[in-house]
Formats: sequence, C-alpha cells, structure tokens
Amino acid sequence: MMASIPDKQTLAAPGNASDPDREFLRVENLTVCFGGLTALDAVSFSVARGSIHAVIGPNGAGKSTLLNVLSGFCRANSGKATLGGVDLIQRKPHEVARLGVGRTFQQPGVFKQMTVAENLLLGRHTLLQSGYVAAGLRLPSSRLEERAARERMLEFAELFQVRHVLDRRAGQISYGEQKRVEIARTLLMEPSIVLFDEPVAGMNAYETTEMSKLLARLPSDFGVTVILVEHDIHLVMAIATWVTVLDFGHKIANGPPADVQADPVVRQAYLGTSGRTKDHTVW
Amino acid sequence: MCDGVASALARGRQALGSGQARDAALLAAAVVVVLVLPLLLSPFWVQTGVFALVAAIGAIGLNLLMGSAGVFWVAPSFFFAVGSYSYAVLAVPPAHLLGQDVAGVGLPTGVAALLGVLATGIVGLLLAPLASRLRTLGLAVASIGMIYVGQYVLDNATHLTGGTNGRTIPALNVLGYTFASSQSLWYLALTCLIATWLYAQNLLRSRPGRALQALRDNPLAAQAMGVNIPLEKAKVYIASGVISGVCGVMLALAFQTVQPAYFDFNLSVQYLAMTILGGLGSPTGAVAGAMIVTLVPSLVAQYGGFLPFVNTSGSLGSSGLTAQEVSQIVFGIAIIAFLRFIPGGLASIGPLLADRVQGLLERRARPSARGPAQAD
Amino acid sequence: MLAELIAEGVTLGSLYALIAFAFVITFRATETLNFALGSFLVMGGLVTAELSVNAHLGFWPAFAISCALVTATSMLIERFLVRPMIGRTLFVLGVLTIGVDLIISTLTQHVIGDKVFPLGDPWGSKVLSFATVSLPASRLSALIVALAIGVGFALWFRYTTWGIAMRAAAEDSATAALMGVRLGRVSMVAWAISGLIAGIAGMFLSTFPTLGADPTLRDVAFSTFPAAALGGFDSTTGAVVGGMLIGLVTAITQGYESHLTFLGASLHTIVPYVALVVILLINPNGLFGTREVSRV
Repeated sequence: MMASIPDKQTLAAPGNASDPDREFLRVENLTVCFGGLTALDAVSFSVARGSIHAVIGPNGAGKSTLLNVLSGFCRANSGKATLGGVDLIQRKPHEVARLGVGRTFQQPGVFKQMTVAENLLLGRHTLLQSGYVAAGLRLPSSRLEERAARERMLEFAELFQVRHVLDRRAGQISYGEQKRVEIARTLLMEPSIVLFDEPVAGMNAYETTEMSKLLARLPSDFGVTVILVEHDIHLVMAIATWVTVLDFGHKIANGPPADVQADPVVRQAYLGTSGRTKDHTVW
Repeated sequence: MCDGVASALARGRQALGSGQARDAALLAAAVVVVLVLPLLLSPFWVQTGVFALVAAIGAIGLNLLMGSAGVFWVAPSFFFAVGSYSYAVLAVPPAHLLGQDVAGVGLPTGVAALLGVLATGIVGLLLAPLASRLRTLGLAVASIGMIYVGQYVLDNATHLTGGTNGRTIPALNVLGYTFASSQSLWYLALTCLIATWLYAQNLLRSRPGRALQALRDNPLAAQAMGVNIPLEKAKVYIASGVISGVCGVMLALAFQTVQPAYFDFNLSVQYLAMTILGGLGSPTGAVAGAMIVTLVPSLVAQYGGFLPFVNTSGSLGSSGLTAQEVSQIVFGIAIIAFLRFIPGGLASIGPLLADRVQGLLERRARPSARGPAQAD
Repeated sequence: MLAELIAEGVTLGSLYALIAFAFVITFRATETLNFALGSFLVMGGLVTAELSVNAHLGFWPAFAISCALVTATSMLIERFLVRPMIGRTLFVLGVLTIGVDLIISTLTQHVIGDKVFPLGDPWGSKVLSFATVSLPASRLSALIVALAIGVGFALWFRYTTWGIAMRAAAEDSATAALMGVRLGRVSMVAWAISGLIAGIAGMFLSTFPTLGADPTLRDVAFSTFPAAALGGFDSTTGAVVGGMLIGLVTAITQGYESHLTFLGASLHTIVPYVALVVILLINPNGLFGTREVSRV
C-alpha cells in the first residue's frame, strides 16, 4: 500500500523569507574540526517542516558528523543550528532529545537485553514523569502514566508490525524487526524531527522498498520532519522532497532531487575525473 | 502419585501465568513459609536465617547497581560498613571502651537507624560523579581501592570506630519494643526484605528501571532517547546506597558488634557470588543467590561431617577443610560455572527448571498409564 | 636515611613493576583483568617453601618447580576458562578470575594457616652495604632479576617475531589474525609469561621482609593496580613507570610514617590506593594508555 508522498511542489525552496515552517531547522555556517581534519566547513542549509530532507555525498563527506552535531553527540567549532528558533548545538544528547529531535543509528540502536516492549516503552522516557519515588512506591500517578504509556506502545507495536515479538529480547529478533523497533521507539518520543542514519544499510531490495514506504509516510502519518542521511540514491530520488549534497565537508548542492541529480558539480563529486563512480552508485 | 503432583504443578503454573502475577504468587507462598519458620527452627538456624534475610537485602542493592545498571562495582562491603558504623556511632552515647574514648551521639536507636541508612545513601550520591567519570576497568579497580582504604580508616580512626576491636551495637528499640531476640530480628529483616524487593521490582518495571537497563545496554541510544546518564547513575547509586544502608544497619543488629575485619574483600566477593548465582538484573534472583551463599556454609558445618576432606570439629591444625573454606571453594567454582554456562543465573533457568521437573514427574507417571501393547 | 629509602623504593618498585607488567600483558592479550594474580604470588612463595624446606629439595630446584607450576596453572586457566569466554564483557571475565582467585587463595590460606613457611633461600637476612646505604641481599637480587626480565622482554617484544605478533594482536586482533597470527597461541604465551613473572615475584616477596610464605601477598597484588592503571591497563611502559613510582612512594611513606601517626599506623599500605584515586581523577584513561574513541 503506497502512501501518498508529500507534494514536492508545495514544499517550496526555503528562500530569504524567514517563514518558520520553511526554515524549521536552520543550519548556519556549521564548522566541525577533528584535529587537523575539517569534517564540516561552514555548511548552511534549511529544512522545511514536514519535508523529507536527504543529505547525501560520497564517503567522508561529513554526513555522519552532521547528524552527530545536530543530535548533540559531537561539538561544533563554530556556527549555529536552530530548531524552530531554539538553539540546538552545544547541548548534550539527552537535552537535544527533549527538544524534540530523535535519531536512529546505523547499527540498530536497540537495547539487546531488554524486551521489545521495554524498548518501545523507553521511547516515552521524556514524556513520563515517574522517578525513584513515584515508580518505586507505585504511586497512583505512576500507575496511571504507565498504563497510558503501555496503551500507546501497543498501538505503535501494531503499526510497525512488531506486536508478535513484544515479549522477546530485542537482541533475538531479526535485523529488520530491530530497525522497525528502533523507529517505532523513536516516534513514541513524539519528536518534531527525526534524523535517520542510513536506515536501509544492510538491507536487500525488498526490505529497502518496505522501509522507504514507511519513511515516506512519516511526515503525513506522524507529523514529523525527516532528515535522511543515505547512500542509496534510488531511495533518495523516490521519497525525498529536498536534497543537500556534501563533499569533503562542503555543501555543493541544495535543491529538489531532480535539480540535484542534473547538477554537473554533483556528478563530478560522485563520478570523479575518470568518469567512473567512486562508490559504485548508479547515477 | 507422581502423576498427581505433575498435573497439580501443571495446573498451578498455568493458573499463575507468567510475569508479575506469578512472581507475586510465589512471593506470597514464600512469605507464608518464612513467617512460620522461626517458631519451628533451632536457635542456630534462626540466627542463620536472619543473616540470610539481611544478605538478601544487600544482594538486591548490589544487583540494582551491577545487574540492572551494569556498573562493575565490587565493593558493596564499603556501603555496608558505612551503614553499620553510622548506626554504631549515632546510637551509642560517648563511652570509654577498652582504655580509650569513643565518640557517640546517643540518639534513640530508631532515629540512629534511619540516619544510618540516609548516610549510606549520601555516600552513594557522593560516589556517583566519580564513578561516572571512570570507565569499567577504572571503576572496578577504584572500588577495590575503596575496600582497602575503608578498612584502613576503620582500623585507625579509633576514636570513631573503636579500631580493630570495633564497637558494640545496641539493640533496636522502637516505640517501646526492643528487637533483642533472633526471632524478632527475623521478622524485622523479613519486613525490610519484602519492602526492598517490592521497591526494586516496581523500579525495574517502570520508567527509572528502563532508563537504567538502557544505559547499560546501549548508552548512545539511551542518550538519544533523552536519558540523562550521569543523573540516572547518581540516582541508582543513591538507591543502591540506601538499600545497602538498610543491610548495613541490620548486619550490625544481627552481629551485635561491628568490626573492620568483617567488611573485607571476601565479604564483597560473597555478594558478587550471590548476584552471579541469582542472576544479574533480577531482584528475585538476588534473594535466591543470597539464600544459597548464606545457607551453604551453615549446612556444611552442621551436616558435612561425612565428607572425608571436611573438618567440622572446629579445631585448628587438623587437615580437613573448614565449612567456611569448603563453601568458598564451592562458590568459586559456582561463579566460574555460572558465568560460563548459565550467565543469566538462577533467574533465567527458574522457568526452565520448573519445566524439567514437571517433565520428569510426568515421565515417571507415564509407565503406570501405559498399556502392555503400547509401542514407543 | 632518605637515600636508603629511595634504594628500598627502587627495589620494591621493580617488583611492583613486574607484577603490574603481568597484569597488563594478560589484559592486552585477552581483555581480562586477572584478579587471580595475587593468589599466584602466594602460590609461588608457598610451593617454593614447601618443596625447598619440607620436601628437602633444596632452594633452586624448588624454585624452578614452583615457577613451572604457577606458569602451568596460569596457562590452564587461560586455555579452559578464559579462551572459551573471549568476547564476553570485561565484567564477566574479571569476575571469572575473581572466582579463580577465591578457590586458589582459600586453598593456600588453608595450607598456610598460621604456620611459618620459610623458603630456605640463599639470601636469608643478609644485608649488603654500599656507602651509607644498606640493602637486604634478597631485594638486591630481586632488582637485578627484575631488570633482566624487563630488558629481556623489551628486546623480545621489539625484535622477535613472537614479540611483534603479540603486539600486533594487542593492537588489532582481527587484522593480526588475518595476517596469520594465531590468537590462541598469543593469549597462551601472554598468560604463561604472566604466570612465570608471578612465580618469580612471589618468591622474592616471600623472602623479605616476611619470614616465609605470606598470604597477604594477595593484597600486594591489588596494590599494584594503581601502577597498571597509570598506563590505562594496556601500556607496559606505564605499568613499569607506575610500579617504580608506587614502590618509591610506598617506601618513602613507610620511612616517615612514624611522624604522621595522626593519619594512622601504617599509612604506606594505602598510599598506592590514594595514588590510584589521584591518577584516575586526573585522567580516567590512565596517564599513558591508548584512548578509546567511541564511534557513533
């Protein structure tokens, strides 16, 4: 069942007008250096609310660094990033999460010794209140919010087709199921924006198609903005509404997928001077 | 008869289901048994039982830290010492013991006990930032250091601790009732144990417990879900500290004295064994482990005489191993065997064992139901 | 007086450096903190004493057999307990060795009891004097042996194929395996070396200042943790430097502690642990060790 992909025309280019929805996430002159290596060099772009914004580029372009800076796992040397006007960088990862930024990891970030149900329930961590007193003593407030959390969790388990493995340990389910658990859990956090780190890495063609259908539905069904770091160009072309291309830490292109695909600078970065693809992407 | 037991067991297990309901039912059954025991057992076994119950409290506290939070902390004895000695100092008025002055505050014993528990929680809080800074190895090594430094302080701060001879402990007196006899201590320890067990279970099955296990399994993903790792670690150190403080105060009451020699590395190793045997991350497992580690030495001492290499006469110089030594060797082997073959401890094989027992009983019962013409 | 304390510190430090080195070498090879090393030390002293005096074998044959025995024990533990568990967490492997330590130390404690087990060593209580400094003969021999071992291993690691193989395996075991290094052999050799060192150090530590086999050597092993921690547990240089430092600080403290009785009667016993806390506060990774960067 193919869900509707957001109309690419309606999500127009972020222009000079500072429309809050058009520039929901604003990255300005972000620079990150590791020792002598500049991973990101004064990168600037904006992400529109409700879009599926892909960040692509050859290996070593700085895509992972970008994700890590935006989610608080890495410090920026200079520059800014704001989400809905709120400063994102120079914050700890858990603070960034509380601001409504979710992220997934390349190796599915599941908690292997916890059950799938517990994994999912952890997604509600920022939305629940019980601590060592309320939860330990099973006060009514704690019991109430647990019950509500459980109901919501079951809904999502159903939606992401992991209901049948709720009692299994997350380390014992299949790779695809782990990925779905991770996404479901991240969405249970009710984030405004989710950063996906190569969501189809290690998947075959069938799994990739299923995952891309799921990702395409996220803005419409869950009201989240999606940032997608990916190598798989087919996936990006199929579902992205906007593409930013990085190469050696520089932004070299930024626009709708079709424009980016035709951009000679981008072809150069991917194909190199010999005309052969550097990383075997079909262009 | 086997058939009957097997089907009763099957029906019972089916009725109980699994998870929280089953655990609660098992607990209720255990509680009934344990309530009646002190009236039936000899004083030696009542005393041993008190130690077992107290150890279970400490084991739950350690399990919370080591099992659920995954902290490589090998010095529970440090926390127990804080609890025990705090009670000693707070509950006794200044005195002159064995030729020296010892400090004391002379508070009512009930208040002293509560403050002792609180003090241990505070020590946990103070340790948390240090522990967060260290990696696994550093923490393990630092905790060993703390045992030795702790023992040194206990031996040498004689004004406070009474030195190597330690201090005497007054019996707990609350609202006019004095917990002087072993039997009264049994019920006190049991109450504390039940409360601790319920608390730990509640914690692990809700938000704080999930945060703990998450930061153990995958710290990066946990942070991405909004778990503030240093804060959550501080909280579990406090909780573990408080529970260990209860254990410490109860140990003091059970021994009626406190001495530095008790809180050594070997004591910590015993609690490590309890946690490994019982199963990391399971409060029920911790209780089971504590029972085994506390009861085995007493069992060997009482009934092990028939084993040729065991010396139960208590006289030094004879060639057999003492009950204590036999137990230690058994626990060393058990630690190795469990880590190798049953890493989840007894908690993980509990349901499996019940399956096996049930199956065994059913197989035993079957021959009587089999007709002569039955083919296999 | 200070010169003598320094000399004492250097000789003691050389033994500490050896023990710390033994910890680090097994950690680098098998990611295991060998808590049982302390009981190996006790074993070394006890077996030498038992064979030398009670079995009348004479000191040197007894010492040789004792070293062989401790080495063999260490290798057996590696082969049958540690190797099947490679890949498990630090915690699991560490607690495993705590289990082993429990067994061995209970047995040695049982044999020793409160008896005295003299070793029958050739140094006895002989003391040698150089200028104003007098050193026990056994300590001096310990220093010489430690230096020989230290230099020997430094050369061995650097120039022999085995040494290079071990260093490669410690740095990147996957690549080393692909290059043909037999990881099982490497870990066996590491634990063998560690056991041998423990046997030797245990013997020396049982000759002076104690009267014989000494069960408290287990505590001595733990007090070399700070030395190993100085190198983050995976730097042999750090362990050696740390061992010398700890030895010096311990000896000097012991010399002056009579002036510091307000801090307790035997301050030198906990000085290593205080040093440990200081080291770890300055840098949780140790001061020499290789930093681990977690990739997200």
